[in-house]
Amino acid sequence: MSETQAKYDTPELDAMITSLGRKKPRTLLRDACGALSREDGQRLEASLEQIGAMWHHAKLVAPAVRAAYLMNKLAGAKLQTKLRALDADRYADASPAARIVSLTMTALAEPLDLDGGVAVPESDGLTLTRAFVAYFVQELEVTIADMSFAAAKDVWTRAELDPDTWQNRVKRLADAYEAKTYPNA
Amino acid sequence: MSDSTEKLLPMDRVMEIFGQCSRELTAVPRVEDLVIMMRRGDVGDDAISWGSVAWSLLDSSEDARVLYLVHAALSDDVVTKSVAPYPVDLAPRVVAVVKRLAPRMRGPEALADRLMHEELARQVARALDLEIAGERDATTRYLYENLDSVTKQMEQAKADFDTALANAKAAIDTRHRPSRPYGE
Repeated sequence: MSETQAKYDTPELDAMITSLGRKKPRTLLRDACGALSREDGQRLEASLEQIGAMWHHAKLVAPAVRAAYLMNKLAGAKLQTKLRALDADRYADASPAARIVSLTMTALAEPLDLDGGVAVPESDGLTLTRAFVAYFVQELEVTIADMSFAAAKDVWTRAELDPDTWQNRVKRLADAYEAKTYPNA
Repeated sequence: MSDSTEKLLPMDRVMEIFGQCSRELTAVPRVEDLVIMMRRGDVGDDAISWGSVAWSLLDSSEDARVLYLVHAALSDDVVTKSVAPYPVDLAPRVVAVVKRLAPRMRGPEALADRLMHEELARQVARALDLEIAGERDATTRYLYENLDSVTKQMEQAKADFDTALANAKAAIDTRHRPSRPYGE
């Protein structure tokens, strides 16, 4: 991640992400959707893992689910309004599980850095989850907590999950390597 | 792979439907068309409600054409007989594949491209955890693992990145190497 000070900090959102701990996707789905049985939660988690594995994004499944869970929790009503715009009269409200799984699957289908790859080498769950929230904020044009649209753009760029944001990465990491390996030079 | 309960996607039939629909599809399909298609495939109300969420997440309404091809195939009698019942999250699984491939299938020629049809069919099979009928297991696995050209590009970009970073670090090490006394 960038060594420079973040242009936009999101402490409120970070606290929410941290409070989720290491809950598994199936647990988050059942937290969001009380009617979901344990078996269905497991089936949906397996489904998400399968889609993640298809695009070499297995390690991104959990952070993407956490981000989708937060989007649904904090902006579920706004999301539903957007979804209803598709065909207002035909559908009842979609279940929270449907919203979370759909959001997660579409995010995982993006051509992102494979499994977080070199961008996030330490499996930094907070960074990845924050990045996915930023992705959803931009895609859905719905802000949550203290993540504004400008912050979302900044966070997404710094996460470097998207190849379009990879500029100067080699130079930056090489500079960091030099500073760490030869501190007295 | 030799599980007796495995579901087999009849590739010939799917390719036939993709070809036919891509030729005949002139207007962008409406949500109603997709719903009708799903109902024909004996998909329940819950799964259609899931569809309403998933479809709204497509990047472009143009991409509904590709979505239509897939649901047309999955609602076909022959295909349904082989692979139904479908899971409740059928729609998001299909949308994930369409979202990935649709940007490369925009425009009449790309939509009718048989190679893209084949890639689409294989990825849908993979997303729905189906085997492909009439194909050797090893072939199917090989194609699954080597199919998505976007993933291949990503792998190449990552390999290029690793090489560039290793070279940059080596250059730094060389620069900081202590000078040798006798000029060797």
